Formats: sequence, structure tokens, C-alpha cells
Amino acid sequence: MTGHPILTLESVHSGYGPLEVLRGITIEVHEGEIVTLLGANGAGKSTTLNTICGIVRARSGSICLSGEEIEQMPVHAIVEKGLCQVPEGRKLFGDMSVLENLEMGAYLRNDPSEIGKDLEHCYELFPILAERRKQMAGSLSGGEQQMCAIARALMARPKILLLDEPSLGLAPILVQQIFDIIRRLNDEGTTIFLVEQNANAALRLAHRGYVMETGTITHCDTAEALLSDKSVQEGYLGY
Amino acid sequence: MEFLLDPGNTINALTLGSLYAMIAVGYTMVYGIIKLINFAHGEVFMFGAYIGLMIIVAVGSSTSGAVLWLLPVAILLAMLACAMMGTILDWAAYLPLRQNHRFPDVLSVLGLVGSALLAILYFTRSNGGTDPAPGILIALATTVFLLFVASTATLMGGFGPPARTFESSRLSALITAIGMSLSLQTIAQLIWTANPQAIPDRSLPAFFNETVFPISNGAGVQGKQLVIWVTAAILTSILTYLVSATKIGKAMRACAIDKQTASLMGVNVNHVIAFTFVVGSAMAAVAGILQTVKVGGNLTPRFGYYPGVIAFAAAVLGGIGNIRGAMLGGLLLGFTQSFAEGAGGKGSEYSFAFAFGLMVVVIIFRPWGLLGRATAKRA
Repeated sequence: MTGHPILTLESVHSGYGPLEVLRGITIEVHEGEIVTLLGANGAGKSTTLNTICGIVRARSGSICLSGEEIEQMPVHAIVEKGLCQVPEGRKLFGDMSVLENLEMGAYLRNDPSEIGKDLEHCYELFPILAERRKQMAGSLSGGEQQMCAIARALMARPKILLLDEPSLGLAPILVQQIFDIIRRLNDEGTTIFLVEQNANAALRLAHRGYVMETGTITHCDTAEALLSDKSVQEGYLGY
Repeated sequence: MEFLLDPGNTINALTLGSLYAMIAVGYTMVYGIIKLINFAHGEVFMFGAYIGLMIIVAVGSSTSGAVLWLLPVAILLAMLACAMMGTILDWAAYLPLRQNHRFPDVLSVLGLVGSALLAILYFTRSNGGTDPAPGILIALATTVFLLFVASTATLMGGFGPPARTFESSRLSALITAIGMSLSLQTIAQLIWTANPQAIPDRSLPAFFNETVFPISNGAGVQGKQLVIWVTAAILTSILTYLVSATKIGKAMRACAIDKQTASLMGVNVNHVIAFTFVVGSAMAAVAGILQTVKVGGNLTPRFGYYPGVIAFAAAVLGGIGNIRGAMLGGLLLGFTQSFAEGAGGKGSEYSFAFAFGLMVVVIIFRPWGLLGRATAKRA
């Protein structure tokens, strides 16, 4: 099932100004996996993603993407290496149409025919986007925006897709839909690193999981093992 | 109220408005992307005028009579030079403020040394001959080159890891812009002196000052006015296409909305910002030359001040950040000013007051401008 490590974080420290948020975290994501990072509010999940993407600079430790160190690279160069993030809160370009948002996702690519195929694929995954392709992205509903954000990331054909709380603020039926799509993407070969508060759903989807508490990794195991772990159950699954 | 019906006023208004529109888009694009009022934009316009003039004078004096291709060539070269100037302006003055490492200090020292050198050379010169000393030009070139090298090195990561932010303190950037405006005026004075210069009459084709479309009793469209209209129409159409339909245009709009997310799409935000300066500065260069052609001369280092502030007002009037708004605002202010002048008497004395007055009235009722939108974002 799992291949070579595609993304590795090795005792990464990071934070904002005087505040240290990540205190030496080590994470490994293998090719073809869905790995989830769980934790409460303020544990440092989003900071972890932003440090990987280069938006927040790692203070020490190393981050490798396909064996290449990326922690000193600017954001756009990291994206060029095949990593893409669906940011928390969607962050669509609200005054641009759905189609333009998707085109921005394919910004680094120069293969119009393949881009066209991927566009069709996105419309097939999310038929509502095809209907609304001319509409301003800011006028979409929350669920549609989340679909648009995921589709935009897919347009980059990333080797690894980072998702920050895709279920946030969505109705349960939409959450299920989004998670089904994530599974399908993974079946199609995209490696997924999923940050979630909805631990139950995330662990049912993922192969492996990490649990984070105040900037450190407290658990690291297969999803089944975490689901049946007493302390994880008490802390995150609400049993 | 006869002046309202005078076709001459409408013709003047369209001409002035086209020029304002071409300058205003530069203000609005830069504001849209880095939220900075680039007060040095009027000086780019002025440099464009000088560079165009230098080319016209240099070539015009060696050819006999007027040549048709001279103005287009001068415009193209001035666009090129001002595009470079805009990039250097961004990289040397504004980019360091967006970075979060020690480079700004290095640059300040460099800039100070350069300014001191310039000041010394300026004073030695004012005691001596009247020609701009070659030393000044060498010092200038050296300073600009050093700034260019230093900022390129920054972009390449030579001064440490690349910046993680694209935002500067708004106030620092604004003060820097005012400083750049004053510095550029001084530099222009060092190079070209403060004496007004004019385009030699015989270096432009004769039809420029002739009426090509007579309308009524002597009034009509002059050749140069037609040239200004056509150039403005072509350039604003190209710009509209560039921003709405091309990849770089989409990247510009994406950066204007959210630079961090744009970088997550793989956009090199600093390159897009530099490109914005390139486009805006090239447009300003064209407007600068055409303004010189329109008034026939009177080119001084203060040439960019009034067109600059009016175009800025036009950008605000149209809704700053909105390119079509800037074009509309430029035309409106051109009309206001020309008709005030056409009314004669106090109207022409206070033509600037009428233009600014219109802007004030509009932003009282629509603070976001005519075509701007009151921002209301959905979660």
C-alpha cells in the first residue's frame, strides 16, 4: 500500500514572533497514503501546514519533499515541487469566477490540453462547479466554496495534497461528500495529508494518524489503532 | 452657458482625459496589488517625457525635417526605459519594506552614500560650468546599478532566506513613496537642469498642429489630439485585455485579492508586483511624451506634479484598485477641468479646484469610488 516517504518533517520548530508553536515535531507521509493530523484548537495543526508550505518559516529541523529540503524555499517554489494546500477557510479569489479560480490552480502548468482534461475531471467530481463556472467564487455557498477550493488545488496536479479542515462549517451531508471525494482522489493516486478536528471521520478515512497537543506529537499510529486507543477515544472521539 | 456647447471644449476634454486615464491606471494597479499610493508615479511620467524629448531632439537634429517614425520610436524607447525604472523603483524602494530581514538597513546605507555623493557633485558643479558634469551621471549610474544589484541579490536570496510576507507597513511605504518622488525630481534636475525644455517644432510631422477634422468656425480636431486619443484607446484596450484574459493578468488580480493564497498557487508574488510597476510605468511614459507634445514643451522636473495628483484623484474617484474606474475617473476629471477652463474667467483660474471638488463630492457619497465596490466578504 505505502511507498517511499514523500513528505518528512524532522524535529521541526516553528512559530510567530516570540511565540513558539511547534516544538520539534516529526511526521512522515508515504506515497499513496492518507495521513491525518488531529488535535484540539490551538494545538498547532494549521501552523504545521503553513510551515510545510513555507508561509511560516521553520526555525530549526528539516522538511523534505521527495528527498529535497524545502524549508528555505519561498512558497511558490515549494508549490512548484508538487505540493499543494487547500487552506483553512477556503481562501478563494472571491472577485474572480469559478473558472478563473480553477485556472489559477493550474498557474504553473503549460499544457493546455491536459489542463482542459483536468478541468473536465473537476467538473465531473463536482458537477455544481460546472454549473457555476461563470459565477463569482465569492457568491458560492460554503459547501460549494470548499469544493471549488479542492478543485482549484487539484488543477495543480499535486503529488501531495494538504487539506486544512475541509469539513469546517459544513453540514454533515456535505462533510460526507467531501470525504468521499478525498478517498476517490487518493484512489486515483494523490497522497493526502489531512488536518481535521472531526477526528472520527478523519480516522475512518485515513491510513495513519498523528495526534498533536500544544505543539508536540503525542500519538502516531495506524488509524485503526488510534480509533481503539483509550486516551485518543477520551480526548478526541468523545467516547 | 455657451461654453457647454462649444465642441472645442469637448475635444480638449477628451485629450486631457485620455492623458489622465493613462496615468491613473498606474496608480490604481499598484494600489490594488500592494495597497500603496505610489507618489513617485508622477515622476515616472516626467522621466518618460524627458527621455522621449531627448530621443526626439537627438534624432530630430540629425535628420532634415520631420520623420513620421520618430514619435513612435521615442514612445517605445521611453516605455522601455520607464518600465525598467518602475521595476528598479519597486525593487530598490518598496520591496525591501516588504521583506522581513536586514536588507533594508544595507540599502539605506547604500542610498545615503549615493545621495551624499550626488550632493557633493551637485555643489561642485554649481560652482563650475553649466553642463551637467559627467561625474554626476557616472555617480547616478553607479548608485542605480548598486541598488539594482543589491535588490536582485535580495530576490535571489543573497541576503538570507526569502521573505515569508508580502506586506509592508503602510505608513513606511507611503513615506518612502513621497521620498522617492522628491528624489526623482532632484535627479531629473541634476540631469536636465530646471530650465524648461521644449520639443523643436520641426521635429514633429506638420499635421500635428493642423486641424485634421474641422467641425465649426475654426474649431476642430488637431492632428496631435487625434494621436493622443488613438494611442490612449489602443493602450487602455490592450491593458483591459491583459488584465482580464491573460495568465499574468489573472495572477495580478489574484495577488490583488490575496497574495498569500496566490503564492500557494505557485505565483511568484514579487514578480507579479514588479510586472504591475512595469505596465503602469510604461503607460505613464506614453502619457508623459504625449503631454509634452500636446503643450509643445515647458518640460521641467516639476512636470509630473499636477498631472500626477489629478490622476491620483481620478483613480480615487473611479474607485482605487479598479482599472476601468481609473480610466473613467481620468476622463471625468479631464472633462471637468477642460469645461471649467472653457468657461473662462474664474472657471479657468480654478479649473483644478473644480476637478478636485468633483472628487471630494463623489467620495462623500461613494467613499469606494464610482466603480469600486463597498467590500463585503462572505465567509
